[in-house]
Amino acid sequence: MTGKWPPTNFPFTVIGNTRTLLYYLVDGIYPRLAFFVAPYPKPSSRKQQVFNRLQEALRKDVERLFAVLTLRFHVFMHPARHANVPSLVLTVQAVVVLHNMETELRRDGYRSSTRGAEAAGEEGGEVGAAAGGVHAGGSAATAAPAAAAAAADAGNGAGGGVAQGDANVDMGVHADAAGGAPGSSGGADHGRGVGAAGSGGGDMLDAVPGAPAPAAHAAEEAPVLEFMRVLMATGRDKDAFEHAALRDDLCEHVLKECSRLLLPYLG
Amino acid sequence: MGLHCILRDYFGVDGLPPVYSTDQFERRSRVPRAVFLRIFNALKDRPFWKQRINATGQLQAHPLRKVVGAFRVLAYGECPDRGDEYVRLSRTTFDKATKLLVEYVADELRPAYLRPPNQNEVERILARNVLRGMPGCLGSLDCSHWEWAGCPKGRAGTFQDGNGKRVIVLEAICDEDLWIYHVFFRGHLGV
Repeated sequence: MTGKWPPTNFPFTVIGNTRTLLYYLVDGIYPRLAFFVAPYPKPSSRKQQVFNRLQEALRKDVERLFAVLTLRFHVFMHPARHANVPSLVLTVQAVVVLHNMETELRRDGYRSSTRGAEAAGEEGGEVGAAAGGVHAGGSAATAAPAAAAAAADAGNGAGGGVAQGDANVDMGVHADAAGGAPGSSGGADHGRGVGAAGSGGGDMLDAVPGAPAPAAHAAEEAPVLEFMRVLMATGRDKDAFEHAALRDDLCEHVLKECSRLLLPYLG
Repeated sequence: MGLHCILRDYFGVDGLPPVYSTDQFERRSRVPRAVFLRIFNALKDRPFWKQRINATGQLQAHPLRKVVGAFRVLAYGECPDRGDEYVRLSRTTFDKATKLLVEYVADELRPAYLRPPNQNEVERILARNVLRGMPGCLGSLDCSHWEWAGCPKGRAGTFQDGNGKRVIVLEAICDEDLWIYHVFFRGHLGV
């Protein structure tokens, strides 16, 4: 809680409320901090259940992680025999580094790298077919695979541009990522930023003509004493009210297009 | 002997093709061959790893044996004596090789492979999570327990979990590709 992380220059908007504090998904045992989003402990309505379902679907990444790490490096399977904590820490860090080295080589072939593009394709199909109803109607469900296939064939469909853009950035290829700036609803700002990173390679949003100026946080960047900064950051992070408000906003946001968002994780 | 086994099985020796394929090599060493070779090439000329001649004039272990042995300890969770059957190294050499491999990987490769996401990566994560329905999400955080058999008696209370076992709690933050951005430890009770 020193205020240096997470970065505050990536404002995002949920249900009209713009925030600068990015967050992590956690499970229910974590404290109510403003940069955590936990599932509702006792979901009492359908929209809370939907939100919990999606939150758990996304959080399963890290739940998988420990299984993958343990299965790949069986050193975690047995009780550690190390004599002190530093050597334990070193071992884990080494294993994690090895895991990341493999991920770097293999991530382009992962299922997760294509799922986003498919979901975007399904979004397009749904807008055409079922106009974004709350329940996933039969027509949307049947149109979705076709739309996904069409997006995969065309390769530069509306929302698929996001995935392609960041694939380019990932490989360090300064290609025409800006050309693939997406027309999809939520991803417009970030997509433009990705394109800028691919073509300019410089300092993101500020360097791009035509990109929206990040105005929301400009006032807070005045130089303050280190101690005050830490104090302010601590207060900001421990805001339980903000924790609840963020979760409620996200809940509303998820409900609006829950059929599209949950589709990759159902069935 | 140990060197011959490794070369015969995974690299090919005397003009013969290797016994096991690259897939099998990766399945057994648990890392892609490129990663293995990169680490091997970085280590092979270092003081402990390079092949020495001892006081009686005999050649000591080849670096490949030590690297393979150390990887086996990490990959299979073996005790340091177990891989002796294959790579023919003594227990102490195994132990030292594992320790030095871990230190090398953790100290020298960590700045590149275990760090907070930079600006480009944050943008990429956010763009992906917008598509997944969570704008502003930086990843997921969770913890896992690792039992610690070697915990000193005097500190048993610090590391005790709800079941009376000594564990340390490993917390990690990762993204959708399971790329780990941060990992840290705590005792069971401290949050």
